[in-house]
Amino acid sequence: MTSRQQKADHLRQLLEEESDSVRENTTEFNQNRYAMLDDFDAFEELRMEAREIKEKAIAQLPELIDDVTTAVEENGGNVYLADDAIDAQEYITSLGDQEHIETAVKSKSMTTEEIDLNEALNENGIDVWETDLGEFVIQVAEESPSHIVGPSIHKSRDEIAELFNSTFDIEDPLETADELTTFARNFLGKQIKDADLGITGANFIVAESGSIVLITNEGNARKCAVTPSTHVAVAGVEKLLPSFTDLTPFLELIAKSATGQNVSQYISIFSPPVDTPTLDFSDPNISLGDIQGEREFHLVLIDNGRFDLRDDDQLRETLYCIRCGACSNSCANFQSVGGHGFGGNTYSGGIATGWEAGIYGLDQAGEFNDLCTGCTRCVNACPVKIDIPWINTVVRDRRRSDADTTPTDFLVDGLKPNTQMETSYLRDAIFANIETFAKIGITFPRITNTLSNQSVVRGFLERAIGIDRRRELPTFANQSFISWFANRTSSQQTSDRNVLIYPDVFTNYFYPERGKALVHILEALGIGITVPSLPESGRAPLSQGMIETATDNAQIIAEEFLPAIENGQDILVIEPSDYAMFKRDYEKLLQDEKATDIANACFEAFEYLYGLKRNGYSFEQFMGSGSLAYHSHCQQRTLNAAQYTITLLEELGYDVVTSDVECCGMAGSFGYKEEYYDVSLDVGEQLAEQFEQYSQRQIIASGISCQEQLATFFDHSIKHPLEIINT
Amino acid sequence: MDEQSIADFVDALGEVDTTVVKTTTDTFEQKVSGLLEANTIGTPLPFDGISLADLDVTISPSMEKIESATVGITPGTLGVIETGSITIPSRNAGDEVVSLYPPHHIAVLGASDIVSDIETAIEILGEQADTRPPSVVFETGPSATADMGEVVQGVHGPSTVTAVIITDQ
Repeated sequence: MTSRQQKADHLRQLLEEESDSVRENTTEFNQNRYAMLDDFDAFEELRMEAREIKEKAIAQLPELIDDVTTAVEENGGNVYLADDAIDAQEYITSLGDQEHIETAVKSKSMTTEEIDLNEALNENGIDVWETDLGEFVIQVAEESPSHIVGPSIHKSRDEIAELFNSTFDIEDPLETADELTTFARNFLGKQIKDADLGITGANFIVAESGSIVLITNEGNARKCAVTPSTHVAVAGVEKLLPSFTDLTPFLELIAKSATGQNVSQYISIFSPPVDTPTLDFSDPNISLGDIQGEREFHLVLIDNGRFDLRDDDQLRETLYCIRCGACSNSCANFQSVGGHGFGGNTYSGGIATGWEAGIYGLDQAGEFNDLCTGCTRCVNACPVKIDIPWINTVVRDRRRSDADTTPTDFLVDGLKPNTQMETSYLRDAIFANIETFAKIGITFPRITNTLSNQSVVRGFLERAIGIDRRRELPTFANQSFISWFANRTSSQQTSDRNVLIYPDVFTNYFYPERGKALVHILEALGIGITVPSLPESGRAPLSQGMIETATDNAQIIAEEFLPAIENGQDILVIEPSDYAMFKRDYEKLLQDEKATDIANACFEAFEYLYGLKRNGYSFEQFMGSGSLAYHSHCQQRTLNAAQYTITLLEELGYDVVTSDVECCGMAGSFGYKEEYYDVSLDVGEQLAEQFEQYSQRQIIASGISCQEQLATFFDHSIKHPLEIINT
Repeated sequence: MDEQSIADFVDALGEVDTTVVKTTTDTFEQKVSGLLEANTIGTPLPFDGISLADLDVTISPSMEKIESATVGITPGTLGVIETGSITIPSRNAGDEVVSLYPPHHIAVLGASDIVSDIETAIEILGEQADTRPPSVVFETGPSATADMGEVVQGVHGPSTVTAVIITDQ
């Protein structure tokens, strides 16, 4: 396991060298995706259809493999099911021997990268040329892909030009995109004409007809498949779809999700071996009609851990992935460091955790999986509705269970945490149990606050357990929110309409002003309020990958919430990350209808106020004026809950501009961790830059993490919107 | 297909950088000959009353002609309004090659080949799946890449595409 410092150094290097290009490309894909889907009403319906088809296909996988074998063989082709990378390599290289293959040309296939095909071919004396321009760039540069769709997005045009100019014998140095493309087209065009073997992947495979589908823009996959006389298509078994018409939702979804294109320039659907004559450019005079050569086609299906993933209830979803890259493009951390940071041996982005865990194991996935902060911005982007943050949580949980020592061992056995891994787990345990430490801290707020900012203390915390000394620690309030409310005489306990305000850990111990503002507003509206003492929602342990602990918390909360709900109380939540726990994550943790009942009864604070106004409550007293710059919380936005804040503020007379970033980068504990501090700040900078132009406006944010991050950049504390309207 | 559908398809083609020429069976030869260049290769067109033999097009070209051709003309089997796509068959005559190698591709289709969306196109192709599994390419405008920092048209495939719609077929 890489040390924290090594990881920090590696990520810092990426921030310096690759971040600009990565961000430019991924944010463009992302914006184009949003623009395309804005006009596309069928999106949600198609996602459900696609999801159902994939669930069915993976369930029937053994039959589909039989079906496709029959179909391809009937068409005159061959099918081979390879157990693992070595098995696939051996099949293809022995084919190379039999056919006396000297050169192969490839179109883009992440699966061939997964099985290290190029190395195996080279070792067997076969030259391989990548013909996808992005793959060609990284082949020449001898680098690994930084994105599953755009492998060279970490390189700027200037860098590519420099690479080509220095590698090849070029008279007039290449400069423009046109020149670079022309060079690559001519160079690779020649390789394709001379090649003996064409290797492609397959985006989808139709089992009933033995048809493979290639989604491309450049035309190289077509050329590689059709020009040489032998075509090998390499694809994971999960690419199989039962019937031909199953293709429709995927064809509608894939390009829109990947790059924001309606469809890609070419959708090749062929059932090989095709009737197209093979081409032999060594004889310039032979004509198409006279070519006698037989076509040979081999479909190499790859297992390599996929059947194990299929058996895994929690990670099976990974196999539904259609490799569009939307989860990468919508991820603020990925936008910052790209696939060389947020990626493993082969795959990158949020879903890569599932792939790498299934193919290479937990350790491999563990190298990068903490770059997923659970912000959920990828959740609405995934065309097959994979719960990518959950996959990351599950893997994190398994890594922890796998570890030899647990934090309690230190306390029980008096062991000193030695290794980096051990101290990281200790750190995670502290974050998971934030409530315990908060209870202590608030007992002596002034001392705690003073101590926590002493450089000696901070230095120790960083060296010992990896909490970055540069990050300001939150300050304890003098009195908890619960205690303030309990001592309050003016509050109505019951009324016609009654709410339970959930005292989230941050409002309660660090920022009671948010809670107080809400209480004042609700009292003024005549709403009955209770603020019971309740445990942390489970968000803290869940974000450290402690599913069992989070479940324990959820069960206790459920025991408190459900009677209150039955008693007619609505549950109001101020902190969006806890709101998301109740609305979304509890479904994974609680049985029966409990999660649904709780989700239905929970409201984000402004969501509720908006509802009250719609139900006839007068908000005249809250009318105001002023110009605001509002950053909503990532999980809040995924649940479509930011709109209430914006609309209500505007209705009350405020002028609101909103941020346009996926995440502020703080993400709970993430921004405190020494190995991720610089990434966190890089992400936060994007938001800060947007708000810098609004320096006349008051900056507000709904989430505690966002408030902390913005405070770092703007050097003053950031208010919650509740505090603005509570005048 | 009705006038509106043809008009919608023409609009859709325009959105994806495909130029359009409308013709009838009678005026086909005259209109298309204006689109051809000296070095044009082609594959047989399956339309009544129309033949490439009447035009200056090399059918079943040599390897050398494939490399040097500037225009390739093939049939299109379906036109899809939703996306502005044309499907190109993969016959033994070499449609796949003729539509891919030369820098300009001309696809010829009849108005009755126009369908509204991808779903319909896939259904039609799917019906063949039992008898002879289909092999087609949905071509949507010219080949392109953004890998070099901005969109460039004309990568491994054509850099320009023209659709010829025979309105009375």
